[in-house]
Amino acid sequence: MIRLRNVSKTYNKHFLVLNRINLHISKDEFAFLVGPTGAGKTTILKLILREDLPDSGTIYIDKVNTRDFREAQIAKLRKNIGVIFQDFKILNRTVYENLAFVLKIQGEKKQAIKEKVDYVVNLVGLEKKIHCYPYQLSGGEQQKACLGRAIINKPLILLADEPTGNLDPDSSWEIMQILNKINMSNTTVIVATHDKTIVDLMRKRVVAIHGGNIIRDQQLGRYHEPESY
Amino acid sequence: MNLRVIKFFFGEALISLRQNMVMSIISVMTISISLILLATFMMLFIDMNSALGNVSRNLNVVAYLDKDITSVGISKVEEQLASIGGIHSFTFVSKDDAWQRLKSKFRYQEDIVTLVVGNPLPDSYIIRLNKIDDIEKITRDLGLIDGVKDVRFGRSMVTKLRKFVQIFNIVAISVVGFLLLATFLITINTINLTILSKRSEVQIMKLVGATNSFIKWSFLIEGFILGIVGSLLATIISSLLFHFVNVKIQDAFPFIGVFTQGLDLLTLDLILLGLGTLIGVAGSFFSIHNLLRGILKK
Ligand SMILES: Nc1ncnc2c1ncn2[C@@H]1O[C@H](COP(=O)(O)OP(=O)(O)OP(=O)(O)O)[C@@H](O)[C@H]1O
Ligand SMILES: [Mg+2]
Repeated sequence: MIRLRNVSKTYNKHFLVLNRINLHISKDEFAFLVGPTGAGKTTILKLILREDLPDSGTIYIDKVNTRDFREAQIAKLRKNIGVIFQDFKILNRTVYENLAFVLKIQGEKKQAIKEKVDYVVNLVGLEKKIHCYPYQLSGGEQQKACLGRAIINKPLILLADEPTGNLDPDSSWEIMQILNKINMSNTTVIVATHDKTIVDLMRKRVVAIHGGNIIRDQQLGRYHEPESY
Repeated sequence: MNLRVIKFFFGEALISLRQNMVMSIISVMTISISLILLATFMMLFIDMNSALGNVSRNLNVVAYLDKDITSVGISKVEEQLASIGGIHSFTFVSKDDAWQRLKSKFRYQEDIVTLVVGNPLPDSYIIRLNKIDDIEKITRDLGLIDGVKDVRFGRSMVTKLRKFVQIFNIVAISVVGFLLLATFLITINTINLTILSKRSEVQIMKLVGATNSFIKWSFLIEGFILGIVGSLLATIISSLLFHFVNVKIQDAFPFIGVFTQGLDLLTLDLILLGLGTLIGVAGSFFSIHNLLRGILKK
């Protein structure tokens, strides 16, 4: 599904963030990207979303090199990838409108849009805030809105950057259950996180990044090396 | 494009206009103020032009007939006059009338008149033309008519008037041209600011899968709405303004004639609407083009 081959990324010419990374994530997999602040987790997600290109190396999504994508294909790719951004990136509209927007640009009918939005808003537990603007929402509620927007399209891939960053433990756990559910219904899920508790509870694949390299990649993993437990 | 898509784009444009209420109002005001200015100048110029037209219509050409012409000869001349194009009207002045007029002009210097024995003046026609441009050709044709002895007009006046009209037209066209350009640039700039303030929104739209053409369309329609509203406002205000000025001028100088007679207000309104809409759409086209190129480059 997603393959990174010898991917390097430098910011400002000499600040090396990713150093010849190789990573393969297969269809329907659930993987955590962990690592300290500034390790390059968000950068990897941006490269997959084709918000940016690597300096060298290639990224394949469904066997297509993202470098070969034209503008229309990028738009199509993004319709198949749901994203929760670390900084939310939510439109200055109501929760309903934010979710509906994703469907509107695909030309869905009003009735269908309403049904889907209502369903997802219930799923993430925002039914009481459906007509609120972002500034009327708490950080955690904005995060839930982002999750709703990311999954409304039943995407093939779900990229979640710190999806539990602003949530209390119970809400965090709820969110992870939703992500799990999405994963069960044939969506590849990649979650970048610092949340040790969640990673340790979920026991999924863990890819640890440090100093521009992948230092650990294990199934049923934990946040830290096994010997430290 | 089907109706649902069009409705959607209009919805998007309206949301965006409402979110940037202040900028939207500024854009609309910019468009309408510029258009009102433009309309005022156009009106002034067109009016001046028609006033000049009046002047040239009042320039008389006088055709003097042979002294011994018979009444049959006169009616023949009249027939031929009617067949020459470009003539607005003509009046017959008999030699007796002319003599009376001359005498009354010199009534305080009777000795001059009494010096003359009998009536030395010929019959004549006073001819008014449609356009000053044809004056040479028409006088030539007049001279060829059987029974016409001599044709006269104020040649130096005609030359001066022509020169004036020429210079006036150059000035008018350049002023209107510059105003158009200024309107265009100011509007593009304002819309550019509006769109720049939506930079992050556009970025998010792209990240959740909106295509460039989708974003372009919603902004073009936004520009269209700005243009239409701006020019509607300009149309209403300038119509009221011209009406008001018209009434005032008629009150003060009834002899000037109807202001704005050169161009009816409906035509002007249509021109304003068309220009405003065009400027709005073109302005947003340029701005969104630049913005998208900037985002893509990143
Ligand atoms: N656009 C950019 N320009 C310059 N440097 C950048 C840019 N984006 C990221 N960086 C740098 O790249 C490094 C990796 O950033 P990234 O956002 O991928 O880290 P992260 O692993 O997501 O960290 P965190 O856990 O804090 O979110 C950071 O040191 C950051 O300063
Ligand atoms: Mg990050």
